[in-house]
Amino acid sequence: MEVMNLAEFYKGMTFPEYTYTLSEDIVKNFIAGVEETNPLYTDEDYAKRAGFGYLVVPPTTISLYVTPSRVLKTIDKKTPPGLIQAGQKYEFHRPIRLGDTVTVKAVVEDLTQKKGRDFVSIKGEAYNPDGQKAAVSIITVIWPPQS
Amino acid sequence: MTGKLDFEKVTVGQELSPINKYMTQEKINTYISAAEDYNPIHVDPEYAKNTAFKSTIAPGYQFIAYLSELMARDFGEKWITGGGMELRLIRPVFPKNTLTVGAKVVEKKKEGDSIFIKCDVWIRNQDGNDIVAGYTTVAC
Repeated sequence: MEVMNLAEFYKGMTFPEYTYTLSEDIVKNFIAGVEETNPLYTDEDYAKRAGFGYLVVPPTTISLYVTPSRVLKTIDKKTPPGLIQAGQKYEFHRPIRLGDTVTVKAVVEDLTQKKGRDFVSIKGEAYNPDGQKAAVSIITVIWPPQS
Repeated sequence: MTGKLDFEKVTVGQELSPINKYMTQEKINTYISAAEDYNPIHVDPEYAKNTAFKSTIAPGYQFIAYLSELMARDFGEKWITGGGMELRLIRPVFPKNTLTVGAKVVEKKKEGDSIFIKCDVWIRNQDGNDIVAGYTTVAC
């Protein structure tokens, strides 16, 4: 895959939809990596009492699949090394069930320049298997200089 | 309701109980194995030595998740069905950094049948420097 060049982005650029499955193994590693302790995500009885009726995934797991690299993969491109995250917005609307496959619609939300640095913001909306919007993530990264 | 806070009794100015975390390269590697996002700045010490940071750094979304942990702890499932967050990442997190994750209620208002609560949130390192700053909102 070729590295994406900053000049190829434009505000409002959309990407092909893609899917992502929140498998037990992936979520287990996420929970270990962030040392999450809330039983909502690991204790089925507790999750039932909370009103969901099933185990849900931590809401910021959307950051596992709304990343520049995953979004760019849909157009056979990859990120340059050294990308640094500078900002993050989330909206959480509905729980996502452990094991569910979500569909992601992504768009370039913004392109800005500050103090000689280039910032790229990518918005990803995650839809649950019923087609309902479950969560939104907008990640802003500093795009490294490219020759 | 599983959240620890009584939303009716929450007051503006109230600080939520902070969470402390200790970052390690092992935790970064574990997170990256879930994310499958192999940016060398996170996982390759040789590459990272030649960057401005001179070291690997944790992925932003890894430590941002600590704020979600705090919110879900105190707002329970309401965080998952009506939470929001807007954050600036100010400084990097290095392996062996100790982090304090905090929040303070800055706004509370009735919105229809719900209570809207806004918190200023932050993550600070062991030197007291801001790593992340921003706010969260939740409809309870």
